[in-house]
Amino acid sequence: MSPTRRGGLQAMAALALAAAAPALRAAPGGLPSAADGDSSPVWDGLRARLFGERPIAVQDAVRLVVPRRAAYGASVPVKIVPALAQTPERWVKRLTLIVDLNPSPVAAVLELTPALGLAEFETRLRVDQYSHVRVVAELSDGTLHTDSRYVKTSGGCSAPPNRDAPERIGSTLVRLLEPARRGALAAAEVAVLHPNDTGFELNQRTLLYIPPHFVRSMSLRWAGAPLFDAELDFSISENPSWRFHFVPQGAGELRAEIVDTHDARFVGRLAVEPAA
Amino acid sequence: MHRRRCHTLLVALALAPAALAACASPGAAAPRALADGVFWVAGSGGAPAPANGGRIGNSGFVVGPAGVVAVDTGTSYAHGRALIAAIRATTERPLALALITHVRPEALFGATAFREAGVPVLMHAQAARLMRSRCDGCLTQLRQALGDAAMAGSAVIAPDRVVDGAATLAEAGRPLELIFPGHASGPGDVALWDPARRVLFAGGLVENGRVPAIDDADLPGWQRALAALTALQPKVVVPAHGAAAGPEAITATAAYLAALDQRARALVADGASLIDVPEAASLPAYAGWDEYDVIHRRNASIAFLRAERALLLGEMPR
Repeated sequence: MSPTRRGGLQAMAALALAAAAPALRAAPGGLPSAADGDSSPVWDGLRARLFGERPIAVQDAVRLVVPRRAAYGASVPVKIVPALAQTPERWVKRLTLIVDLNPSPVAAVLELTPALGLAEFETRLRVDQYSHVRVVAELSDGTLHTDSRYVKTSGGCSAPPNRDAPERIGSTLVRLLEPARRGALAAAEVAVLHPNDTGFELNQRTLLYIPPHFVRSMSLRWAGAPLFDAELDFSISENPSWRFHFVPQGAGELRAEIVDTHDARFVGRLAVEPAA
Repeated sequence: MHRRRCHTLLVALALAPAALAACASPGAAAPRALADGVFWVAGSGGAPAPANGGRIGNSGFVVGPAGVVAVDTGTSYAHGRALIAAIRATTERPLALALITHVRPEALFGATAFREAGVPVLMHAQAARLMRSRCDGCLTQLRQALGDAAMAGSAVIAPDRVVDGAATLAEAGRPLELIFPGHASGPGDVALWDPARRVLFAGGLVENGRVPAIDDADLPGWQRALAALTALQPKVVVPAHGAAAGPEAITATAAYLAALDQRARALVADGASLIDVPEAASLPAYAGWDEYDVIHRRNASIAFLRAERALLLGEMPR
């Protein structure tokens, strides 16, 4: 196991330990956890529109891990860490990922199934300016839970997306992050080559805005059964990447179906033979 | 501290009027002669902050029989004004041209002062495009970092002249070579080579004791460019930041870029998470370089994302 993977596991362990601590404390790689009052005018409006008057708990059912100071604003890694496993009795049913001050604050809405084993996800966000990033988790019992981080990005002018190989847009890679074992939680990643153009960028040659063109949805299935469906917006970084889990009981295929705003469809596949 | 450095320079170089003018303004360094008629104006390094007035990058100028060619204009209108004053205090020859070698704020915004003084500004066409598409944002960031007063009069201006490739500049009255190595540290980054004095103004292509930023770079192109610069066998290299040095600054820049690229590819192959990359990509050999904590962490993320892209394109073993 590589040092970086081990570091991830240590962070997980630290998170598990921290679950018993009071609500306001520093989390690994982030600012203190959301407490009541960790709000913004944008969030107040969004919250009413997305969730109405429903109460949203600020406890430890879900946690967001974000670097305290993101090294690169065009691609800020965020990790959503649930405190509960996905079981048929109680599971995380929906995740909403929000960047308060982005032009399109709702970055992703994920519909989940218990087949994930664990509703832990990692992706990258464009963070335009210092902003709260939030996750809202809806559990199968209908309760809502949230966590947020205030993200600062290091200064500098972000380079535009790489558009060198337009004919390769949609190239999709599904890979395992470690060898899979039968009946055990396996970690995988899906990534698709795509500029994920926001529509807010000037073409350096023509000085006209480059039209928006981004990945709109992503569906993952394992051995024919759905793992998650994601509706995505351009707050997701160039070359969208999602890390997720599944539980292989035997050999099968991981299949990713991806659709972009031009209605182009891309498929990524990986045959998995878990070790006994 | 600046005063002491200025004093030392005064004693060492006896450039009295110019040095006095420059030293009267905190953070401004006096021109230093690198060779006959070739001068370097040192930036402070670090990140733009009120203490350094944003004067973090190197500038310079070449005095020829017919006139003066200035290299990189400074971070602000005020900085450009001070540079013009320092040049005029050094020589009576006319200021004929201001060359902007690369698209970083510390090279760009002083151009407003050169324009005001009637000095034509020259850039590579690709650099001009990059600047137009994004540098209003850089200006906003600088106003936040330095305050509106420090940046007063600064603006993004269109260059008076653009080149598409290598060129020989005649303005100084002796030939100066404008080198365009293709997309390297940036899409339109150029260097100025004084073949008679063997001095290279390397612009964004070379750093000395500072982490080079790869945001706009093509890494293979950059390595090719550095090999080409080494082949010139310069006696003196003026980097974008840090002290003027010998050709070892070119070698050190190349070594850092190679180490960064190798580490980023290894991390991608390893399945590392982008969250862990800034720490996992640490290169202790370079930890003492200026801006390591900010620029190297950012570079590591960018290099990792590019290596991921190579994996998506099937250019890396899976």
